[in-house]
Amino acid sequence: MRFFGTGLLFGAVLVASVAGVAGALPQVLVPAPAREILFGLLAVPVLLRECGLLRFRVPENGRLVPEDVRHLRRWGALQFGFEMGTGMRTFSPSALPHLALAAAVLVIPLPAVFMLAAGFAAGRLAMPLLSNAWSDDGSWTRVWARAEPLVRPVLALTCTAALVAGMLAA
Amino acid sequence: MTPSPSPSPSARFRWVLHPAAPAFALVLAGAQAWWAGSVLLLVAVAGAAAGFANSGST
Repeated sequence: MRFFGTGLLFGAVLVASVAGVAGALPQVLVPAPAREILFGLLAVPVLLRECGLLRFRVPENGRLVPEDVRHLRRWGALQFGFEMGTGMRTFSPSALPHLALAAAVLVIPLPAVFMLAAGFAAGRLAMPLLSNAWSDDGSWTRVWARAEPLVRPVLALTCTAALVAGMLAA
Repeated sequence: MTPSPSPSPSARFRWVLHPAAPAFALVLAGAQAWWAGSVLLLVAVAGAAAGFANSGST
């Protein structure tokens, strides 16, 4: 789990760095109100989607864990964590990672994107930690599925409100 | 009549592992970060919520 977590962090930091560097130019050239309005226009449909009021697909690379990764032990865990941390090798049931990426480009100042990445890695790591602590038979996934109609909107509101508050305070 | 067995400590605190627990912990952390006016903490909370929301993907 340590190697998986480290991989998650590396992957998330890599994507956040690219997004932060890519966003440096628009954050300098485009006035803040225009960027904030654009971010708001992205945030509203994402929020509605997470609350189940709107349906649309988000870009995702829907691939399952390859069998060979499991045989590579530590390096496999590191590699898989890295790939999941980038968000480029997994199903994405939520649009919140995409919104966070948009925030990193449009409204979050470069130093803060690393905290965004660290938070993302920690949040992503919570799932296997909770699942393993819950039971060995993977039944946490069923608990998640039952709790999803409540938890998903709570997470969406928390994520969006925190990004907006961070944007306004920055 | 035998008394019903009391739940073990691990069973008693199992609710901490429920998906709703970290979700509401993030709400509290976000409120705390907003109260403290810390942009870094707010952004970290947003990232954690985004990461945890993808929990159904594995």
